[in-house]
Amino acid sequence: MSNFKALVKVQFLSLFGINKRLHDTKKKFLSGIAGTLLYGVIVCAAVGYAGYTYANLFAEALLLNGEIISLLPLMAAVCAIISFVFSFFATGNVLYAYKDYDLLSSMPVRTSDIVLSKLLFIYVSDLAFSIIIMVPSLIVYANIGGELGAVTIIALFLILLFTPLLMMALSVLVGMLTSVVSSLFRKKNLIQIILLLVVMAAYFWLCFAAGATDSADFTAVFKNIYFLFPLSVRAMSDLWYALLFVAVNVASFALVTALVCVTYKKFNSIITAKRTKKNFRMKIYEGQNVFSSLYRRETSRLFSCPMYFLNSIIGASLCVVMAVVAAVVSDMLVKQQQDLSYIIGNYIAAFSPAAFAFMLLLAPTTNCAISLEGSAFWIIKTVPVKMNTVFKAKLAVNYTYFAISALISSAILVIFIKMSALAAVLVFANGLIIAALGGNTGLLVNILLPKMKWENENQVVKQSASVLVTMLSAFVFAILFGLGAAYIPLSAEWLLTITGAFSLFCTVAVYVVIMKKGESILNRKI
Amino acid sequence: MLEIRNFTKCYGNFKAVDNLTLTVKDGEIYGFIGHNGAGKSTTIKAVVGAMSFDGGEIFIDGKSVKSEPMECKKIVAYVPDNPDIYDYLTGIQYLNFICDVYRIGKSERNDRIKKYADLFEMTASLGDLISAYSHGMKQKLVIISALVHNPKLLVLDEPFVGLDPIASFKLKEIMRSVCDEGGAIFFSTHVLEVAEKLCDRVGIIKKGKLAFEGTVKEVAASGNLESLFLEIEENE
Repeated sequence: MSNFKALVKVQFLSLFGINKRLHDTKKKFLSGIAGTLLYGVIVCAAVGYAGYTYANLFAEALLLNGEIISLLPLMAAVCAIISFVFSFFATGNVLYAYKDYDLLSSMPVRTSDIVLSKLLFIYVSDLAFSIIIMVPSLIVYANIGGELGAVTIIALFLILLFTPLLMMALSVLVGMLTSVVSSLFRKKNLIQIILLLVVMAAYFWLCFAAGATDSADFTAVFKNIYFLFPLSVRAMSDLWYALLFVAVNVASFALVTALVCVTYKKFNSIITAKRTKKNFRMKIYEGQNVFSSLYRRETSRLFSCPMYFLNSIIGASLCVVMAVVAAVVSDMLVKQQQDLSYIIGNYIAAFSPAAFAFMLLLAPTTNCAISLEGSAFWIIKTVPVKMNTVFKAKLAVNYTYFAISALISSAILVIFIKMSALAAVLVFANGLIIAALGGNTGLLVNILLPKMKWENENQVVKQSASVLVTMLSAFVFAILFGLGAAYIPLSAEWLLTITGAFSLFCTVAVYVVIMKKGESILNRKI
Repeated sequence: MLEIRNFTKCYGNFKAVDNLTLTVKDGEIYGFIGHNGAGKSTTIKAVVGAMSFDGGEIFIDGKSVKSEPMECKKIVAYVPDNPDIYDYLTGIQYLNFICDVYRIGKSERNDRIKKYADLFEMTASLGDLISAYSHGMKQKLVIISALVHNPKLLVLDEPFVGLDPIASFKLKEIMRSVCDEGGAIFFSTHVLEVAEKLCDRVGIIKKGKLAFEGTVKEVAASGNLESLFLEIEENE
């Protein structure tokens, strides 16, 4: 087996703990495989649904202009942008500063083999996302009568296969530079978080705003951003252009790969270098009570891992974004029918718990807070602190950030959407209660499904069972509240009272279980 | 100070430690020796409350680890075999965190941190992130954090691994002074010369059972610790 093949094999065996599953007992193997499959199905369903929604939105605009042939290249543009964002995150975690760097670089393996094996891993992930988005897009395209001749299918296949390459190359370039820049600072994680937030803000701006007021504008945004769009549209009807598209992607990828190979050792040394001052002077330390100290520790943990911070902050941020969207939509509807302003306001208020549940329960900070203790968990187990105090500190960090998000979102809804005073109060109450429910649910799930042994934090933050189950609970609560708002023939105030009371009951119940049984369950699980 | 009575720990059907009984008296350094996988770390983890166990009892200063874990933890300090600590904190943040949880007051904490940080030549590095520390520096930080709350019982799992010769020497001195002040030390090691020179008593654990226990004088009477250990290991 060549070095490249061996490296690829090792890399893929680590994915979702495949190798560990293969060597588990039969019972654990089956449950592990079932969990992984479930995770895959949920991710595919969510990404596929998003792709379907985007394709429908674009199709509406393109049909009006008679440009339906552009639908699939436009969706490829969406995939390209997703590839860019995904590759950007992967550059810091997969390509550089990887745990096996010292080991690999000490062996007789070419740098190009190491780089290519890692880039292949990123490419396959990008390609998987592209396929999940393009398949529903193809269905939309076929439904609206788009042409599907032999040339189109071949071109589509080539576009699908090669689109990620150029974006990946650009993204690796940007990711490489941000990793190097952030590593020049002592608090490199914080710098990296800021840089990642900038990239994410740009992405959300692209997806939600970019000055687009209707689907035609929205379509134009993607057309303009993805500079290979005109080439990919021509490729759909002319195979020579398809080959040109392939050549541009392959050439740019080859160029960046060569650059990465040449600079790999130097940049890895810079990125993994430890910045120390060694100039510390003792001063007088006041000390804090145990809870405050634990709270500070949890906060430091949140900011120490860019992926953990971003994962947790996404739900809270999207909650605010969604409140803004609801306010804008409400404003547009009210302008059309002024006399319905209260009805629209109450309708939005009635559905707000479903939205809160989806956003605030999706990724609380607590859903991996226990797992992230990892091999340092011995400290908590051996110090004279009650485990419940540790749980409370973890919950408090989650409450802080998600309560802020819930309060801002509720305030936006209440200020910009006309609703009764009681409904306004209940919207606030629901937001806060659901924020607390998210934290409690995440922690309980993590107590039940802790993953204390891991190679890198991504395995806990992105791929652990407790994260998946917490996401599922968000879906369950959101669907439950959404169905209630849609089908229970009660006023918004009554619906909000019922969802608030139900959420409060669940929040208290989960909290009591954590405080009474949490420690013993955790001791059994680890 | 430490009394382990009929301690048993199983992992599934495998008995890692079987009916172990031993005592560490006040002012005594007890060396716990054994082959890899003999049950040393399991016993140590149970003593410090990091692991539940299936049978027997463990008492620290007369208090049960099972029924009064908080009281026991207040007077015990643990140094694990691998210094896995919070990489995302700075050294001083970590020490302050430890002082907070052991409720060490303002004046004492500063004096003690300074004393031990100076002793292990770590003061200048306390403002740096732990992730930037070498293995030895992390080990020193764990040792400092174990000492800042003046424990009565120090439980150390392979404490000399990763330490430079000066730090090893200072740690041995500290271990002796802790015992001179009435405390006790229970530690595991693979370095038999260290155990022979430092300990008052040694216990050799083999396949989860105490195969030998005696004072250093008794060991000396039968040759040396190395030959005794090898003899025990070879006898099936």
